[in-house]
Amino acid sequence: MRLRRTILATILLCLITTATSQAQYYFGQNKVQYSQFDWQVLSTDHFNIYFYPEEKDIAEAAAQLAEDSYEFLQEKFNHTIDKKIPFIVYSSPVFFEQTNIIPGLLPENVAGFTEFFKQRVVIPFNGSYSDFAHVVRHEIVHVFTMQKIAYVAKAHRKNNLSHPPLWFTEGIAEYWSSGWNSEADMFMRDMTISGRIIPVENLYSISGSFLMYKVGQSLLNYLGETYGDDKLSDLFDNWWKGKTFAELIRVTYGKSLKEIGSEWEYWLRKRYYPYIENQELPDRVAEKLTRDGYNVKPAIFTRDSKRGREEYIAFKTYRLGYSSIAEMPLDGEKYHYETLVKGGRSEQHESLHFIDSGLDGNIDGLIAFASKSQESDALNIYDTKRGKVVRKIKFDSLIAISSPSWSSGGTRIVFEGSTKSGRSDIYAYDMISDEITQLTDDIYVDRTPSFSFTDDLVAFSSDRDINGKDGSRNLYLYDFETGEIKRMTYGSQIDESPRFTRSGDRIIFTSDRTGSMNLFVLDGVTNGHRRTLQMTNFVTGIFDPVLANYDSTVVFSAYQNFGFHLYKMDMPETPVTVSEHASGKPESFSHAWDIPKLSGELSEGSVKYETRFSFDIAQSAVAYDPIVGTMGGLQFALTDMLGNHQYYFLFYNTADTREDFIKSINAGATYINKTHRMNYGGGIFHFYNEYSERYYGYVGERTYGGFLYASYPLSRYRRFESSLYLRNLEKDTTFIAGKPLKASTSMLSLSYIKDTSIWGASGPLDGTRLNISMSQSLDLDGFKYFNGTYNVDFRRYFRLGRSSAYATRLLYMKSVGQDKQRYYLGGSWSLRGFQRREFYANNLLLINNEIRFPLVNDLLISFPIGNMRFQAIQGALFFDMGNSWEDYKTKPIDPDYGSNGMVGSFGFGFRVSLGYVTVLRFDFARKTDFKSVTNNYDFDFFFGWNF
Amino acid sequence: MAGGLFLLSCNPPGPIIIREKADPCSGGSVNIESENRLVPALIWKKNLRDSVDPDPGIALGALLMPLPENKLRIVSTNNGSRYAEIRFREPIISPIVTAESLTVINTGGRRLLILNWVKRDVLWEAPMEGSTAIAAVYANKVFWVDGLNYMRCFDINDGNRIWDRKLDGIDFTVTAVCSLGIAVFADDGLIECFDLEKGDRIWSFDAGARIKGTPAIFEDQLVFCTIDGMVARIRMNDGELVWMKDLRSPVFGGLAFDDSGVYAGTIDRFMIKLDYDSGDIEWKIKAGGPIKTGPALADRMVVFAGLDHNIYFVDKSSGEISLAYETEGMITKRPLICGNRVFVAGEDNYLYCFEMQGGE
Repeated sequence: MRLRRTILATILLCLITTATSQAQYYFGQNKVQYSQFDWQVLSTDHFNIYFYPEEKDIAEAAAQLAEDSYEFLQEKFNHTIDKKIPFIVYSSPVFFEQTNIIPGLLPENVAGFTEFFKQRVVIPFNGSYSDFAHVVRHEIVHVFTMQKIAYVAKAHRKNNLSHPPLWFTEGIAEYWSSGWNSEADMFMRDMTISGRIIPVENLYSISGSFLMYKVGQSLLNYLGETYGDDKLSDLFDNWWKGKTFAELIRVTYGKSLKEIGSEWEYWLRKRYYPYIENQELPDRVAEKLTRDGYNVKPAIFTRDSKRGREEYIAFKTYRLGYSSIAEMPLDGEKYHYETLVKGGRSEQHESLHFIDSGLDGNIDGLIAFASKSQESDALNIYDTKRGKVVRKIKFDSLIAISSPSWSSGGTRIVFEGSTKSGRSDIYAYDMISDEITQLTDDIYVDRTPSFSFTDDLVAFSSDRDINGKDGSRNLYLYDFETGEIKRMTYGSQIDESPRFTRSGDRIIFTSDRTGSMNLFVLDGVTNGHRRTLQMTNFVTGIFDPVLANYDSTVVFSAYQNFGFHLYKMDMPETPVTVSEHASGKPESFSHAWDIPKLSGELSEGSVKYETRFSFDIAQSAVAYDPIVGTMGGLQFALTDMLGNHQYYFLFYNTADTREDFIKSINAGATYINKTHRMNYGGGIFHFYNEYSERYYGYVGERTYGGFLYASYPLSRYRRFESSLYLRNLEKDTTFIAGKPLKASTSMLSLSYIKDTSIWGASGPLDGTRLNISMSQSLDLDGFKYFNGTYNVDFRRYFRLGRSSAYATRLLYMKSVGQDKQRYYLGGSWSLRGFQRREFYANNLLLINNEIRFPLVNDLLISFPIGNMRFQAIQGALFFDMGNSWEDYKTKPIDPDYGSNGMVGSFGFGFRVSLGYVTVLRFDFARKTDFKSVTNNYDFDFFFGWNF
Repeated sequence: MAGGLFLLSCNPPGPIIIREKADPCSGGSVNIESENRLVPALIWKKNLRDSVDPDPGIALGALLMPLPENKLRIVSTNNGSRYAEIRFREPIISPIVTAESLTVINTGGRRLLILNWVKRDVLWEAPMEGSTAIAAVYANKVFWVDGLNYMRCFDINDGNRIWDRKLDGIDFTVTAVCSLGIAVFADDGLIECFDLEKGDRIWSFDAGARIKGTPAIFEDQLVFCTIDGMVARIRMNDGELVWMKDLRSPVFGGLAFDDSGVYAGTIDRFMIKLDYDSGDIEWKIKAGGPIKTGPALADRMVVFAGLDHNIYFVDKSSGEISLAYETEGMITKRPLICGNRVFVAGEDNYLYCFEMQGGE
């Protein structure tokens, strides 16, 4: 019967927790609604575009791009979609991260998503219209894919059609949304030339990674080039003809998936092997400076040391599940490595924008970098001598900042800034006067600015040329004296990361004009006789070059062997190629292209957003109890299109006989409002259940009432929660003689929650979690004190390695009052080695200590019925202590209610991650009362994450 | 219409059946001689409660419609009422080919069934070896390419082998047949034509790209379209190219032609009429969505449908739309013609029947 209670409690918990917060209940990080938006709806032939007035231009562009994509894709899929597709646009990734359309926290690198239930497309604008066009089409491919497969299934009355593998889903979205570019080529060149092509049947090993997107795109490129795009259309039409994706491939292409994969591998080799004859790999011509993780965005700064003034490299690194800024000498990290700033660990630096934003150092040992702090970005100045951030600047008008760069004098900084409307421009900040100046003011994306050595010019990369609409970027020069923008490079390639040399007339930069990103020098920047010199000829690609050693050394990041690392090399004396700029090329610049906007005939105008509810999720929950049999229940949710208003309903019945049906109705309804930073809501419920437990014996418990709830996040990592319950309780018990306990109570609870944890495959590996809660209950009959609870749960994780950590937990729980709560101790998730709920009392103390370490990263076991894959098998060594005791005279009838003193256990265990859904835990423990130790190991297993 | 042969145009990918005499209920085009201009009008529509896939067939006043759960439903062309329903062990995966009371059905790529659909008897069957190719029927012979890449020719009545021949190309999926020979189209664009009696190769032609839409034969001419948008006319007797035209958009649905011209619907939404002799474009009209099905020719009308839910009736001469009838779903199956009636199975699960009624 206890199981049954657990199941009911679990369902109730699900009802409340899915409703209340994405904060995962008890712990969890917060999605903070910093901003409120006045939502409007722009209706087109096939889309409803949801936008707010500040981003009207972006919404109109989205409408045009979406309709263009629709027309393109209906031909590719041979399919039309009758219902208008909801399309929600945010003017910045900052606002996008606040969306309530999906409950979970969005990783920073998510460029958009398609939500599967209502098939809502949700996309932020990142400042670049070409990027935006790509993501719009990518997501609409997902909508077509889902709708087409569902359509074919319905037409052929097939309910169990195979789902496409993720590499195919994302690959076709990339294939039909973006052309093949140097970035995609870089990944495939590296994979091929390194001799590590991932066979198509093993693509699950890179599932979800960016590499998977590009590998999938490459495979689809191959299929399209070799067999034609019409075969891909056929593949969708044939979806009902096969039970597995491999069968569909055979039906459509007449070949097995393995054969297709083999052809693709051969195609890659034929394409990329010839490159190695004339081009270089980074580690063959440059010195690798970093060894571990991913390392990007180098910056040079100088600092006094025992040997005098020395140059150091500051850079971004990702090694332990979060990004950080580190420093090392020019000779590399093997001589010295120090973490300066950790990202993703506190509200000061929620994100360091690992990929999107560079950093820069100056001659005073100061490093300028951007980080997300609460809602918007801040410009930070880190002093390497003092070892801390000495200045943090926020600009009211800017929500995003990236790639700050110092002037040579070290008093000014240029950077890319974005406004709430989504515009991306170049700004200059004067550290002395505390003034900010906007240098560019247009629709074009302007990136990676840097000062000249004379501080009167700023070079930057921009898409303002006509080819920029398709994603090309060239170099431009801003003149502080005249305010003019002059054009420096030409062509349909990406030129970026310009840096002036000390001579003042040369700029180094990277460009993919040769097919991969390489180092170039633009000579004659100011004297008018311009030449472009190609300095490297790498097969893969290099990024963010900076000069050191009086311009004799170049430090850069490069991609090779599936990773980004920092390298340094002497600045080549002889260029690979030299191209003279044709005389007469215009330096002046006029706006070359306009924002694509929806033409009149497609637009049906915009109206104010109205809250209309529709089903978000509906399911019948069935639980199986070995004693009482199956129990069914219905859960469903109604939400509005933006997910700001959410209703959750639960209905089930626990009656064993027909007569009990009415009294055994269990139902609940919850409303949550997420439009503001403070999420709030309320609900009503009626629950009846019968169960037995050690303290009360048989219990028949009926509870009904209502509750109010509020949660206020202080930041992503900390929040207050409060709830007020008005509850009528009727409890009939066996062991507590006398009349049934009846009480009408009110309970007010307040919690403070902090969570900075970083998770591995089976649980947290880094950070801190803290939950301090208290509640007070009043008996409303006479307003007498009913009971109170005081809980503290503190968990700390000390990283020992990439996948290993020392974890500790201190849990103290206390209940006081007329009807105290009893807390249970024992079992795999509390005091290991002891039986589940072996002890109970109104006081509980638990201390867990555990060393977590990896055993196996990936294990595939083949059975006759198929393969079973186990990800990340971890080991654990643990030592636990606990005590539970009553603090008043009337002891329970059960003589073994508490532990009567501190007891403990120690042992070892294994944790098997089951597809990141849950973890299977095995524990072998020996018990102790701190006087003696049991001889045998007690075995226990449990499904659940590590504490 | 010169000569005694009738051409039949079908749609994606559909069978070609040539008859010595016009059979108004055999699918493809018909020639309804009429002094007055006829106007199409919907006379009934029937809810099939299922979507038809692959393409249906028509014969002897009945429509043969493949449905989900391996079913073949036979309904009256008169009022859409159900005559019978036959259920197979495996799904029907290729368009229905009919020859009066006989129909040729590819089930699951495993078996080719020769079925007397009137009596609901399977006369005989042959292994398909995984092939999804469409069979063709001509002069009491049935032709198909199996998964072993053999072209087979059997007597349709008794199932006796007449000849077979190993093919050189790959993945033959489409066939076209007339008295001069049977042409088979490989996935790589190779067209091979064989003698009907002995299976000797008469000629071959490299179309340069895959032919997805069903080709059409009229008199001694073969017209086909490739997935890269080329439409070509070649002579069936020697395989010589007469003309080739680039439509700049793939034609997935096949084409139709008679002596008034060649009609092809493109994925970029255009129905295009080409001059029969020169291949020059005479007119083109834009539909509201991609055209996935081939057109059918009726009287002075070309009938086609688009993914925009519309069934279009267009005047062959002027290219003017006589009727654009909007249904509730996409249309991906070819229109069928029987007498003065046009039948269209929509993805909204309705079977639509139009009749050419007296005009001015």
